[in-house]
Formats: sequence, C-alpha cells, structure tokens
Amino acid sequence: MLSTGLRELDQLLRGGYPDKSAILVVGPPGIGKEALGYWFIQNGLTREDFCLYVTRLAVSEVLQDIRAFGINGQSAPVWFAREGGQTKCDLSDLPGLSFSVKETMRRNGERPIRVVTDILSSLLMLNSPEVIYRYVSQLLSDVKQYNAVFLATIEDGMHQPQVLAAMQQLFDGVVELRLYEEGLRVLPLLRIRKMRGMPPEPQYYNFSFNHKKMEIRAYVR
Amino acid sequence: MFDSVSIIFFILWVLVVGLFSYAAYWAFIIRKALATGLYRKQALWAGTMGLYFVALSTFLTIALSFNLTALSVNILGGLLISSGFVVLFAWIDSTVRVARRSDPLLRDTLRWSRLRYFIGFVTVGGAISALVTAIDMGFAYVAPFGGALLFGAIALLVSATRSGDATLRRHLKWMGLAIAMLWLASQLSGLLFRVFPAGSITSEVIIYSVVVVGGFCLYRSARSLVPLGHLSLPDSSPA
Repeated sequence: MLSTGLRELDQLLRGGYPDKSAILVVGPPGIGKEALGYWFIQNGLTREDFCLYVTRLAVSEVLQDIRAFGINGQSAPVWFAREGGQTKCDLSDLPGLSFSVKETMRRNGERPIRVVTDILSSLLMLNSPEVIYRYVSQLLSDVKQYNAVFLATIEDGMHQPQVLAAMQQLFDGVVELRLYEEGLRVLPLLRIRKMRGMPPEPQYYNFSFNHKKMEIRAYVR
Repeated sequence: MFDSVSIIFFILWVLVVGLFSYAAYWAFIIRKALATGLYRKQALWAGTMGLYFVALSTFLTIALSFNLTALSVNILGGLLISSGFVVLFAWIDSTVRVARRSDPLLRDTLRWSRLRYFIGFVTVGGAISALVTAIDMGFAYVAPFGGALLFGAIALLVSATRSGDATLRRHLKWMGLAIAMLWLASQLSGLLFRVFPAGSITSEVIIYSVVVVGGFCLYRSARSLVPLGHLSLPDSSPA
C-alpha cells in the first residue's frame, strides 16, 4: 500500500492505494480532485519515492495551484509539462509521451514510483475515445510492470457518460468527487466507486478543504 | 400615494429582484462547495452580478416610482450605473479568458486578448461620462450599457461553441444569453421612450420582461457552472 498523503483517506482505503495500481479520480471542474494528486506526490517526496507529474499545464501554474491548497514542500517531482518541466508534455505526440514516461520510470531504479497526471480529459478532447482507450490501456499495462502507482484525474461533465464509464473500467480504483444538490444546499461528496482488494463501498462521505488539509466525514442525510 | 404605474413597477421589481437574488444565491452556494480558484472566481462573478442587478433595479424602481431627483440621488445613481460599466466589463473579460483555457486549441475569440484593451478603455470612458451626466443632468439621462455588453455577449456565445468542456459550454451559453438580454433591455429603453410617452406602463413592461429573461439566463448560468448530482434514496442512506 502507498499512502495517499491524507490520513482520513488512508483510513477509508485501509492503508492507501494498492501497490502496482492505477487510480482514477473523477470529478467536475473546480471540485479539487487535483489536490488528491498533490498530496499523493507530496507524501511520496517526503518518503523519497520517485515522483513524476505529467501535466497539460505549465509547471508554474501547477505550483501556484499547489500553494493555494497550502501544500509546501522542499523537494520537487520530475515534471512532464507544457512549460518549465524536465520534459515537454506534447499531447499531440502520444507514442513519444508514452515512451518518455516508460524511459523515465526505467531509469529510476528500485524506488517506489508515483505518477500523477491531469492529461486524460485533454487527450479525450483531442482524440477519439477509441484511440485514447487503447492508449491508456497500453500505458497502464506498461506502468504496472514497475513498482508504481498511477493516479489520473478526469473531468466529470466534460465527456459522454459511456466514455467516462469505459475509462473507469480500465483503472483498479475509482475515487469519485461530486457536488450533490440537497434542497437549497450543495454538498461536496466523495465515494470510493471501486478499489482493488476492497469490497464495493456504496457509502458517501462529506469532504472539505479546511486549514490546508482535506477533512472527510461520513455523510448522514 | 401609489398609482397603478407604481404598483406595476413594484410587481416587476419583485420579479426581477427575486430572479437575480436566486441566481446570486446559487452562484455563492456553488462557490462555497468548490475548491479551485478559477471556478470559485467564476461563481463569485455570477453571484456579484446577480447582486449588482438587484441593487440597480431596486434603486431605479424606487427613484423612478417616487420621482426622486435630488443631487444625492443623482450621485448615487451615477455611481451605481458607472460602476456597472466597469464590473460588467470585468465579468465578461474574466469569463472570455476562462473560456479560452477550455478551448483545446486555445483560440482567441474575436481577438479578445487585444480587443479587451480597446473595450476596456471605452468602458472606463463610458463610466466616467455616465457619472458626469448623472450629476449634471440626472441619472435618468445616462446612456445605457452598450458596446461592452454586445461584444461580450458575442464573444461568450462564440467561446461557448469552441470550448471543449461541455459543462462550461452550457455555462457560457447561458451567460452569453443573459448579457445579450441585458444589452437588449438597455437598447430598448432608449428606443421605447421615443415611441411611448414617458412613464408608459407598456414600455416598462417590455423592458422589465427582457430583464426578467436575462435574470433567468443568469440563474441557469450559475446553476450550470458545475454538474450537480441528485442522490437517490438507496444512495443516501446513512454511512
């Protein structure tokens, strides 16, 4: 198990994300799903794991967002980014991107690997879902040959439901963050839709980002 | 004390204020649930605009119903209307730039990155002119919001077709329609006063009806900022 970097989420997942797993975080824009990736990477850096962040944005934009969540770290991951990273993240060159990720992981050695990416929705917007389904399927199978946990975020409400369902099917674990309307209130709720090694978890949890951390508590109507 | 025109004004005001307040409420409640700055800011703008139109329509209804023309009223009206020029432009500008980020090809709608400086300049000029006119001649003589709203509405509706994000597309479409309705209402007020006599109920009903449609569009825009789910009964059992 690799810690998520959040004590409450670790408890919910009974220790963290399973070894050699691929995790998908689904949620609408703005809800804070990237924060799960930031804490996961931050936790990995403190444990001296090998951390790779693949983003469609510039490094400066991601760092600004990370600081907004109150995460401050001394060390940095290896960046594949539009600007400012060790490797340029070119979303139009799928084979090149895949090759660079695998090469970087191969050179890492024996350390546990943590990969976080936010490019899945962009890839789906720029390519047909069939192409991306095959691409992600192959990439995940390659990544799992290493001692790695791969965490990706995908936008809810941006893609057709069947595309989202197909993507979820490729991953070992799916964490869903959504906003629910209850009367005149809007509640941010979290659900573990599936997780390898865990029985189905139908329960919902309230979550919020308070005092530079994520708080999770059982949702009672 | 209250004639039939005042009562109709009051009913129309209740409708407008109700809709814009409801739009602002949803924008702020959604903002509270969001975590990312960009979207929180967008929700904040929608809520602020809702509140601005509540304040503006309240002022206009009271001032016009009671025929208030004192200097202090004109200054207040001038400040309210001229600040609207700037706030409306800032709202549109922020939204067009958010829309650009969600376009997979990052296209510059109407060359907004350059056009915004020109429209911004014209808007600030319009705001100063509105304030001076309000103090000098009375707030009722202030020219309504014009070019910024029209260009903003077009830019938002074009951006909506280009955005790769289906949720933001809906948000932009409703916001573009809301701004188009507000522009239409501002233009109609000038036109109808030439056709109908001053204080005519018909012209006020037509203008307020368009504003009500604008309020509804703003409400839909606030609600469509993020997809909202509904919990079914089995889902919502206690954890």
